[in-house]
Amino acid sequence: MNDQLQIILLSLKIATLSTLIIIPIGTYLGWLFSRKRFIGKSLLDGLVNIPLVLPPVVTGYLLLILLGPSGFIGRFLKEWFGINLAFTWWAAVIASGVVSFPLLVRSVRVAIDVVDPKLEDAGRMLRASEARVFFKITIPLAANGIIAGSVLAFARALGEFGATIIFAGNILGKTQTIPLAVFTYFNQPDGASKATSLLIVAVVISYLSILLNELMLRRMKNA
Amino acid sequence: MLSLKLKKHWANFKLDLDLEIKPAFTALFGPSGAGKTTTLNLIAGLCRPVKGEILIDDRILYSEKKGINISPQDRGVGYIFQESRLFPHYSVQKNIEFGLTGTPQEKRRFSFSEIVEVAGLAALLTRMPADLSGGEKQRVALARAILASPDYLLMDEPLAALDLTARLSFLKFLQEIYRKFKLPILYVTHDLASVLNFADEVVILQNGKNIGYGRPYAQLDQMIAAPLVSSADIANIIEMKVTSDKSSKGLTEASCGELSLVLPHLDCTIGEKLTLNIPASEIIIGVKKPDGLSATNILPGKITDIHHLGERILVDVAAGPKFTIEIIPATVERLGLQTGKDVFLIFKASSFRRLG
Repeated sequence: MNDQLQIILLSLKIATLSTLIIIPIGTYLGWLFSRKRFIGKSLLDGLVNIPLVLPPVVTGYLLLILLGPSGFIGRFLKEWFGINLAFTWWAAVIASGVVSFPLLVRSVRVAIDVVDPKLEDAGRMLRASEARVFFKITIPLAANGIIAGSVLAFARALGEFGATIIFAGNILGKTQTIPLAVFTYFNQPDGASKATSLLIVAVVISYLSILLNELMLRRMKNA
Repeated sequence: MLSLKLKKHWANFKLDLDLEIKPAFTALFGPSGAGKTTTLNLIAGLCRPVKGEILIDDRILYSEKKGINISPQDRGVGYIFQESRLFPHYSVQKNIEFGLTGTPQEKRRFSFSEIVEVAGLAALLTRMPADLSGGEKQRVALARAILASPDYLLMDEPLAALDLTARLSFLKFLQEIYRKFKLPILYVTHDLASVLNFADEVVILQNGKNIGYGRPYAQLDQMIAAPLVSSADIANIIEMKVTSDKSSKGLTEASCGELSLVLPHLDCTIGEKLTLNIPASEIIIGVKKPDGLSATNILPGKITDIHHLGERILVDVAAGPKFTIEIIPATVERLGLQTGKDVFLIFKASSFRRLG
């Protein structure tokens, strides 16, 4: 298997896993922001959205401070479980997840805002528990928006560079994803030709993601 | 028995109810802004009163003093909303089943097939809510609510979007549901005229206060009721059996006990049951048996009651079934109408509307 194919597969694996991990958390938070009032809501909202505006490199640095081998949380992970996250494949998953998370949460929030709470009340009057209302009414009716947000988050995860290079490093076969590889190739004298296939794949996947996102948003509006 | 002792205040509105409602088909009636929907939402637990108590029999749903506030799920109350609120992503069948699934086995009193049959929904089960008419949607909503086996059924103007004939047929169906399943109904409406023939009791609500409770026609005499039924037609619902089919002459004959009527030709078979409506304003009243009229249906009867509704007068006449006839005050004087007087009712065959 040549390097390029390996890089593409690794990128897809990291972006897919990070998206799959953030979907349940992001859906829950989006629902919380849309439907509930609670103390510390704006604080939590700000925290979730920071990676959207923070330079990704800074996000990566903050992740390193938190989860690195001598970080606030990382120290305990290492001591108690012998886990070291920084500069591993998992670090790339976490970096992608954190950076794309706000995009997902925002989409879910908008999608759930659109679901008529009166339908949820109708469910309650049919003896449906809050969990059943959530899974059988709210989520299915917000599904198009949740899918749209997930696709956007996946595309963003695939393009993640700054946070990944700081927190996960640029290790071939381990954490070197498409953007990191393109960056590496352009620093090599003969790199431009090696980068071509990666550029094409990146453009095609990104374009398809945006198309799918648009399609889902349109379906959400028409529903 | 549904007991309500409630207070709730908003900036510009105050709800203050003190009411005990017998288990029956009860219409909760009042002008817009009287607090009807709020009352239902409070009973359902969808909003919270400030003070007071809500009980169904001796089961406390809400009590400020005792700190009890049962969740909407556990109140055992069904709710049919104005806009039906069917789940748009589920078929009719799945919508109806939704009411059953959440109900624990030991609380289930009705079966899916039984309710689907009574509601006449068998042919619609695979359809999606978007493909249903207004009346069909409300039948589905009703079936769904009944399958959750509630102790009480709340309905919030479920027929506002339907035309008069569809409205009356649905009410007829609702009355059957009540009689068949003994499921008490609290039915909110601002259209008293159409529930007069169906409801057992009426509660009248004005400015957040209950100001009347009793038999529907008795409540009509309350001044408040007058402007509220002023623009609406009072219906007369009669059930008849087809006795002969004279389609060659474009006529159908139907009878109900002594009463026999000639109707415009209807698509029906001899022996079939008919439910008909004739508006109170389309019946003519006479003190002598008329002669030489184009109308073919002339019935003798006796006045049993006269109600005053502001400028309108409603005369109840027993002529086999009871009919309500609407006239203007001058007619009462001119004809010397009074309770106990013998009169004749004249109907145009084309004034009858078939409901079912």
